[in-house]
Amino acid sequence: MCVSIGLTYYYTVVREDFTVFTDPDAVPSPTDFFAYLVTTTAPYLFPPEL
Amino acid sequence: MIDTLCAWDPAYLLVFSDNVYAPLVYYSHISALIVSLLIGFLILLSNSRALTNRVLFALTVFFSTWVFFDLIIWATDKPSFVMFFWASIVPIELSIYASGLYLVSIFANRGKDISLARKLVIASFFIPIFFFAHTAYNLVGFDYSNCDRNAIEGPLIQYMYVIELFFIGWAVIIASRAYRKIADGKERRQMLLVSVGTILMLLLFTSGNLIVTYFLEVDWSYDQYKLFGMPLFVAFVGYSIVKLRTFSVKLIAAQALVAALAVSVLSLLFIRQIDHVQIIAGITFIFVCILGYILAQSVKREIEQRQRIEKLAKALQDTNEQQEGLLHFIGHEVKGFLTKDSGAFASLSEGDFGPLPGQMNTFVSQALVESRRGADSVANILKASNLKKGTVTYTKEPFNLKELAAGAVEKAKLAAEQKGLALSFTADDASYQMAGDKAQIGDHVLRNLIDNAVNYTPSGSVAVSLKRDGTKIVFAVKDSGIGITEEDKKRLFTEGGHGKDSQRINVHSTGYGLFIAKSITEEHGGTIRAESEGQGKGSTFVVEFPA
Repeated sequence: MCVSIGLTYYYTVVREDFTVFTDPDAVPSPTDFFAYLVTTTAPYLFPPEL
Repeated sequence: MIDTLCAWDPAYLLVFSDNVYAPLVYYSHISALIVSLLIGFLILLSNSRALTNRVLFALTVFFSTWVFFDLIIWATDKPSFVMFFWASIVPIELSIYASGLYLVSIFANRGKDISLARKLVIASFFIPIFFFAHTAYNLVGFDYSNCDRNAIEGPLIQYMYVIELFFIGWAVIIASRAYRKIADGKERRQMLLVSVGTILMLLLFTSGNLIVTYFLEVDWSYDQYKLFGMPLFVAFVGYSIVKLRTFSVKLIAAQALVAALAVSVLSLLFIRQIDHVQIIAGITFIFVCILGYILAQSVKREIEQRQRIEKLAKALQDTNEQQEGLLHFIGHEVKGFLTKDSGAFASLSEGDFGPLPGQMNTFVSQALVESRRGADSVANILKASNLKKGTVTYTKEPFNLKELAAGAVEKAKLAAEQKGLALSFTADDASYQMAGDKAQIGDHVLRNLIDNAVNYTPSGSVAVSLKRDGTKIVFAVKDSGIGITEEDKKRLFTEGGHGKDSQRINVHSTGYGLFIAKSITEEHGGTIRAESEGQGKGSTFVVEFPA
């Protein structure tokens, strides 16, 4: 856990290496994300031919 | 460096700033943080070796860390801090659920640890978290579009929500199976209270996350309500502690609950605005009611226990007094009979009724010795009883301790000679004049110690000495006898306190002689002590009187 948090500190605080969204339309919402996950994984779980 | 687009205030001590616009935030966070740490430390300190206590402590530490990090996110003006603390919360949050599941599992397992395999299964869910916590899979980015200091949550957090629900479901299954399985009523109720408290807390936490994320369009000002799961958890754990003595926490639990109450009420003072006062007052009221009920139960039980103990102590004291009275009566009666017997045997032995035939003379002489010894033993027991009750009266007259000691040595000479012991007495020419009860000191202190030395020395010597040491008169009896162990030293001067081997050497020992000697010495402002290097190495008894 310490390593994981240490790496997070390095990338966020030290390097400030993260995406900044200034355009409201570009901000993905969690529901969008969830829908994206479902639509992209569903064809593999439930192939159309079934 | 990211340009500041929004007018955020800098945070003082990371968590205090005007960026925290919702007044409930400080109340929910600070009260939950303090209550959580308080209960965690209380339970750990009460028994740090118990596994349940350690796991509960870990849970409260993870929870407190989460709360602290969350408060920083609310207060900070730095996007990098928002990103760091938001991302770091993920492994910490899952640790709260894992430790909650672990706690329920241990209670379901009746306090025993769970198998390594199960621990590894729980730990395996952390692997993606540890690998991807620092990446965009955790937080996609920082939302600078509306100055709300939001991070965009990525798939890793969705994964975390799923695992949280899975852990809650797992805990429910474990607890319900254990409820049917555990036969002992107390253990079952302990398990139920802790499990329900833990599961409710975790459910409230998860529902807060999910509702805000999927139904309230990411308005995190509602998220803080989930923190009230901790006081709820503390209420369940507190009830379990007070009612069922869970986590081996005793009276201190009541004090901690009072502190928790004080914290919850005091937190109200930190709220500068009163927009949410009904909500805050309502939550505080519920919290106060729950903890107040627990406290009332705790106090009621303590009072009942004390009343029961007092009643038993009184009954015990009455019984003791009755028994002492009876023993005193019996002792007096027996002493009277033995004294009469020894008087009759003395008359016979001294020829008051004419010469006795040879065999009868020996028999009468032995009977005389035995009845005198018996009378002495009973007298000793009665004396100790009177000393304990404080009914012994002392005379105060001036006398010379050197003469008294010499007389006591003289009386023991015959017994010492019969055993082949070298009995000596040394004293310098200093003044040994003192004031006190001459008869009691002579018979029960000096003679007692000298007789003991003769009785407990199979061969060798007994050296009696007297000297002045400043303002003290020091009387010492040193022998080469059986010695005293460290264990025996502790009970040597107690009432009826025999040494381990004393009755093997002297079957007539009552165990009251040294208790009487100590009581009389102390009544005269003196001290008595025993010195010995151990078993078989002789011993020295030292009495010091103020001159």
